[in-house]
Amino acid sequence: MVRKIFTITKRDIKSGLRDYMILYIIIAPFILAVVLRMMTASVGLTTINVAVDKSIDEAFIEYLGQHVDIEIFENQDDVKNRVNDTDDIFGLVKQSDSYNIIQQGNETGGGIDVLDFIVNSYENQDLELPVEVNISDVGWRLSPFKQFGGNLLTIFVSVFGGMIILMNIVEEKQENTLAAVSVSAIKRIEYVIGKALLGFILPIVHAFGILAILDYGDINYIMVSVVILSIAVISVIIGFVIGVTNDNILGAISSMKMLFVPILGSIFGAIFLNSKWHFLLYWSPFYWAFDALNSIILQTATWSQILINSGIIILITAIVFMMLSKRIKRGLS
Amino acid sequence: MMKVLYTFLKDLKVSFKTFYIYIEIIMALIFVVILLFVVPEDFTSKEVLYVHVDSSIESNFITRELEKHDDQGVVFLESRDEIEKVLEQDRNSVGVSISKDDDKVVYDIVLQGYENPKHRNMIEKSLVGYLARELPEYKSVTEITTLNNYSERLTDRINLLPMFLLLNSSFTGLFIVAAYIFMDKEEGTIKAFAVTPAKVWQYLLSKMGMMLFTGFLTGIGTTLLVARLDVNYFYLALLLIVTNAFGTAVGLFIASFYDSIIKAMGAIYVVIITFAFATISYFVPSFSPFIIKILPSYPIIFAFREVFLENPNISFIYYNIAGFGILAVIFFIWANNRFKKTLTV
Repeated sequence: MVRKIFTITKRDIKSGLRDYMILYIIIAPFILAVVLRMMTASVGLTTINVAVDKSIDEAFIEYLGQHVDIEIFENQDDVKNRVNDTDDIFGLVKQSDSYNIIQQGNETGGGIDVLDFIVNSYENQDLELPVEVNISDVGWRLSPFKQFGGNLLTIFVSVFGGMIILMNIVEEKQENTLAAVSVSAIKRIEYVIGKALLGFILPIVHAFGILAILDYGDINYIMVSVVILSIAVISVIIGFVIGVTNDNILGAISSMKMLFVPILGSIFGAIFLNSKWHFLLYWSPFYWAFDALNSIILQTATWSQILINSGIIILITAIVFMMLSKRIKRGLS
Repeated sequence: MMKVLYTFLKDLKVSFKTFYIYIEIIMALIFVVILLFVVPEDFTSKEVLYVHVDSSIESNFITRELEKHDDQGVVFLESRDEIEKVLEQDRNSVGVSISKDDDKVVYDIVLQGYENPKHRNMIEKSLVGYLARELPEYKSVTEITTLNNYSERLTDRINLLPMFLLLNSSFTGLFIVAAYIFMDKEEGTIKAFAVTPAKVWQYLLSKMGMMLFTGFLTGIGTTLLVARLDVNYFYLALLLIVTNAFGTAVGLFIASFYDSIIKAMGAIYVVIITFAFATISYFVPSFSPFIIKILPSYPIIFAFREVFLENPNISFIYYNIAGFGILAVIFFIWANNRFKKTLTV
């Protein structure tokens, strides 16, 4: 039985390698992780961007450069044009003995006030302040951008395994090999497990790779495996359902596209929504996976939390499976 | 042109058979439901500031100033140690401990530790500048000019729409058109097509029309349901047509390099994920590295945002329409030249 299962898996890998798709799917997440790592290396936390012209003297530019990111332009008009650009950047020009801070008006956050204080603190440097300001920290070196970015990437690519299953099934249908399999000595269950194996192996390989590339330090990879395996189940099921219910690749690919909405929706929701709104996401297995991975990355995860979250994911999956198992059976026969 | 129209109508029929159109519409509806019933109108969570004011401080000024910001998440704690403890639990927060040393008030700002030196200096200097304003000999040397007094901010909910329009309506063709062509290849439609008097460009244009139909339908429909009539539909329609044509032309161009859907899909995925990076800079406008700014998706998502504003930047919208219109034509001609050699084989 095991040998037959592996035969099916091996055949899928072989046909995937023949047209590079599997290679793409295997390599792409690692490339994205490297890109993310490069991006997070330069972002400690977003700072304020300021466009200045030649009216600002060198000493002040140097002072500003210690606090904000600076772009230097020839004249005031160029500064204004830059401020009018799509991203958030303020302008700063000198007029006789005062400074003019230029904003577009739609900038986010309180950047304008901060810049105002910084410019004034330069001009009022000689004042004797009756206060002292110190900056210290609690020694946490992981930026939110990296913390959430790696997590998002890991969960997002966990569906790639399902995608491969789906593509393989659709391809088999098109080439009529499915009918050939049904008259061979392979039982349906062996065939299904053989097909599904890839959907479990890939997400684990990806998750380990992405988390290692982003280097979160000493995280518990056994916990990672448990969470990823439980989330892989749902991708595998979805891969099967879409695969067996679509006779052509067009419907299959557009159905796969549909999956992206709940995945991205629940993850962005978990990041940006105030915690009092999180109950709105409880239906989504991807939310629970994100929540568990987040704790693992922050190194605050406990086994009870991981098991509870994975349990919820499996429970939701079981409900989905019960609703769809008939369709899978029908599609495979 | 009649041939294009005929092929287009035939494609439309087929797509209803393959459920493709239904899937697109259902997806748009799911998105609408999520936006209207799940996403609160404004949901951005703010950093919490944890404050400890030592008992040696008798100034009411500090407490008064802090209480002004009560609605922005200021939480008072009993000691500096407690701040550290809470910061370790809540990684999205910062703290400040205020005490007295001789005659000086000491502000000890406690950060997480991932903030770069610039960010630290910025926080320090802005607090110094803020406190210095209270001194009698302080002189303010700044004035603020706002270039666009009509600037408005969208609600968090509406702000999500441009992302959907970009990834779903503009790029629907980028995602799907390759699958269409290869499906025709598999089913022998292309061979049948080769013996008709119709030209390859007419076949490709009909596919483009099909993609435009779905992209336009889902884009306008979603906007109508979520943002109602507070939108400039004329500009939205123009943008949708041009950016969708651009996306499909790029999809055709990529597809022309491959001989099977599986291979083409790999390349298309990489392109789509790369394009999607523009959404990061859209949501965090102070983070826009050059590498993201050169992506075509970057101006598109901001152009979509303009159509929701009461006073849109019209020149920016037209600049996008013209730019992507030209690019769409270039990529289409390019793809057509390549397909002319390969499609009938």
